[in-house]
Amino acid sequence: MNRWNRCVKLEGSALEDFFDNYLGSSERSLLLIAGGGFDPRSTSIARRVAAMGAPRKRALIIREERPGAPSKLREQADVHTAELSKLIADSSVADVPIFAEGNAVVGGREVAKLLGQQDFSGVTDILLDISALSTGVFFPAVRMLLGEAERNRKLNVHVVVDEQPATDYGIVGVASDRATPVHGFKGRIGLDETGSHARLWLPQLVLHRRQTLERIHTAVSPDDVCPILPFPCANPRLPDQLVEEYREMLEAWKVDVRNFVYAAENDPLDLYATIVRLVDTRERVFAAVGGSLVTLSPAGGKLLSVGSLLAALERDLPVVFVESVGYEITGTGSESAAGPPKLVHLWLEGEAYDGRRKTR
Amino acid sequence: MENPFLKRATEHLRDDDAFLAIISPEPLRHYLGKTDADRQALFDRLARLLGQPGSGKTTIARLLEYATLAALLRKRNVPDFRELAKALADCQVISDDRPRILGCRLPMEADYREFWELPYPTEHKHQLFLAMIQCRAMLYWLRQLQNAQVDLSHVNIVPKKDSDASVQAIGGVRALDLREKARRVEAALYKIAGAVLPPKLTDLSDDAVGAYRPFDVIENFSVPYEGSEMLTLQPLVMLDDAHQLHPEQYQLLKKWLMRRELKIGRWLLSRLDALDSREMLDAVSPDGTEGTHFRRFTVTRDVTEVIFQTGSSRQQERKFFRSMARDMARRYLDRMPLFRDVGLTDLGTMLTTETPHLSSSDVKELSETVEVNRERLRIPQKKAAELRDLVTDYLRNSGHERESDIALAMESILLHRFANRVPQEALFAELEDDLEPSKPLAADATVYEGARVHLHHQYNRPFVYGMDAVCDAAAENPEQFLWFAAELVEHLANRIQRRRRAELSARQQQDILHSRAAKAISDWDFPDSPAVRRVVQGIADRCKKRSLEPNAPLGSGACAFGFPQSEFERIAKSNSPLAQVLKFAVAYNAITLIPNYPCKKRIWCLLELGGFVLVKNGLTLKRGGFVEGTTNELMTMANVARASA
Repeated sequence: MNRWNRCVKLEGSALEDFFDNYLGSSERSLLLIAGGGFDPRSTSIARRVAAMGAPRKRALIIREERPGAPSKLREQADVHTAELSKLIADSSVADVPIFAEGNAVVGGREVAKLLGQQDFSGVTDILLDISALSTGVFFPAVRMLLGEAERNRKLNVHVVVDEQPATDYGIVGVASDRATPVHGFKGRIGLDETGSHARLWLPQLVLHRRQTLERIHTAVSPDDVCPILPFPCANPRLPDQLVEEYREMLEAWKVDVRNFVYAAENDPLDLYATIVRLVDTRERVFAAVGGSLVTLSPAGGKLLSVGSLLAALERDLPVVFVESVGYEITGTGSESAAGPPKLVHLWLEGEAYDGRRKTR
Repeated sequence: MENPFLKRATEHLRDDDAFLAIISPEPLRHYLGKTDADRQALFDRLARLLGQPGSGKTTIARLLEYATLAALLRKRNVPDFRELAKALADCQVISDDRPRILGCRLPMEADYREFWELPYPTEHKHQLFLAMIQCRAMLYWLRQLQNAQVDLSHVNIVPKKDSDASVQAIGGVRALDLREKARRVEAALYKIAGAVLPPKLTDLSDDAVGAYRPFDVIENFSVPYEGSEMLTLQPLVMLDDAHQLHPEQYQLLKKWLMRRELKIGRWLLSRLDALDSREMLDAVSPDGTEGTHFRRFTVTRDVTEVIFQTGSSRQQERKFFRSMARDMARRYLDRMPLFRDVGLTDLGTMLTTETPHLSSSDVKELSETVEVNRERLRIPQKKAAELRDLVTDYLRNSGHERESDIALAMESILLHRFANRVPQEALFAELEDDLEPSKPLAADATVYEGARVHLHHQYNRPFVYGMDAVCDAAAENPEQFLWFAAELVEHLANRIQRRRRAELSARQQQDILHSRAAKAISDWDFPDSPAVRRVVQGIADRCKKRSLEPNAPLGSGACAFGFPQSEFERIAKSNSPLAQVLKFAVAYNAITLIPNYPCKKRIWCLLELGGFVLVKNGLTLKRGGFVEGTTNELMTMANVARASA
């Protein structure tokens, strides 16, 4: 059975219960890892955690440093970081440079190094709040934390997010000029042994990122492309808008209309299950003719990205993306446009799966 | 209907035959040297190929890969392929209808840059990086042979003399053993670079840190060809997109590849911005001969340098590009049955150059405006008639006599020039009929072009149309040309399917090109693209204002921003946000840098707007006119003060 087929996913009142009765219990010791970014959702989870009186809690606040960040966004990030530090008194702030000299992407490597230096002893639950963390940072972070949980069986790893697709779509990244695998997610791409594999690319389509996806396409050089469209989704016209915007590229990539993958915008496990099924089917079909290599390119909504993350972790798939050197916020991504928090939780590893762990 | 113009990057064409069908031999002849000695210098020392994205570097590299050459030679009797094979033979890539080199293209993706981020001393990082390049080159060479259906069990390397020990370290001389060893080395290195947390230096495996140096060992490959014949091939590794490396890593690699004892061919392909500021400045600087000339092919003792796009005189370059673009378009249209079946493979014939005219009411209004201006400027009727005669003569001699709207616009320009060149008090004097301007007035091609710009902005008269204009709008960049052509072809296909005449009017062309240019600019998605967008729009606004002055002081109008060369040199040496913005603007064809431009007894650096910006803003495609400015103005346009805070 797939690892996260029965993943615990909570939201709404069930999540409130979980916070109050499980995480809020006095036996727990929480480590919140969150992004101190400009994203208006940066503090949602921390506020909820701070509202729990009983457990011991501390926080590691990650400041993603980008060379092209406008000062206005930096100021917002400063405000959010200060607020996070205030909400969780026992906290430390770590600057994570996303780019090295020559615009090389190093964010993933840096966050892995940072987490590798952390002392997790005594911690029972790690809450990774990905609301204000970028793909290049939270993907390697989850891999590191799951690795830690493998070694420390008492550790629970949770991913939490204040999910607001409109905010995600409103934050438009200014792309770097190179497509790279997410650190720790190379999944054998580029190796000679996979050179003759049939390559399938599953890009998640988002508005206004045509050149970015073109860049990734060139890097992946796939035989086939199955674009992922968010559906059902909050804006029911979005899939049509995406197809219209990418019409020319879809033609150049020879995408058949039957090749679209539809994934529920608010359910990462839906996309996870779809990708895993697809990968397994291809493995069987292409085994006799050299093998198959499926590459993912998450973008846009956070929850859908988590779906890709889980699939990539489970099947060791390459994840190729273009890191952002900065961001621009359109109307829907602004502080004022952010709606009330809509928290979603995924329990990735820990005591909820003790039975499964024994059989592994 | 499949539109091959949409597949701008040749990477989209995975099938060798499809790829070869659209390749024009012209760039090979144009860029890869003129003499045998030039071409020899591409293979016996390090060659650096520099150019902007879409300038054709990767296409040439792919063409020189062994599997592509083999596919070409299999079809060498097809006329189009024969021409290409001849160009390759001229470049010494093919000899006696047989490949002479074993080429492979190695994209310098993130894998290689990753080595520079490992927490090891520079020397160790460099060694791991070099080992990765060498094992990958070996694997890619062998894969090229496999793709060309060569049986690897009959392939061997020819090692250099006295290299027995080193031969053992790379796996021997037999291809299958070499591949086995290279795969082991690749896997070991991949594990190090890809690990979430890197292993300690002391924990690295022997495969990763062993003495694996095939570049130092191999002289040639011995490869079976078409039956029992054995070819001796010189290996050529083409390291593409080398600008992705760390600057120090790039310099060390360059130094390592410059070693004279290497027998393999080695090319470093990169964008111009991989160079440091000084080198970049040198690369795009005029060579001192008359007019604006740039060096394109330079051979020194250790390095051969080829610069794409900027070569010889810019006028000649434009002429060459027009002919290459026509050839490209023909090859692309030939792949579209809808066009091929009815013999329509010349895009130029489908893009009318028939002069568009203003409506009679617009002409009437224009005529009245000219007369009002004459009266306002107090220019006597007789003098105005003389100016009108100058215009009429010019239009008749240049074959534009039917363009009455242009005649009026030219007359208006000359009237304003006349008024500027005559002392104001003289216009009120008694002897007004004897007025003479301080400098004689002429109606010439620049006034004609200026009139076209004026009418485009005042009456929306089409301005960019016809094949030559489409080529010029592409600013000598094949990818930009295809971007424009794709939509034109789409509309033409639509007309053919509806059984209409396969021709686009000047107005249709103008509308299509304008919307394509606007779309391309809004699609820009690279570092500093918002600032680049602001800078080019700021420059375009200034150019537009200057071009639309009533006397058209720059003739055709402005298409560039000029600021003192000394200021540019200061920026180029700095790592300021403005320098970054300009660097990406140049790298992505938003502007072309023309340093050391002499004008008005001063030396300027020109930022010439790219084709997309010119077309979107209705500015002239003729070069030379510029608005004067300063670095501070550029900073204000880019709004970089905000970004650097």
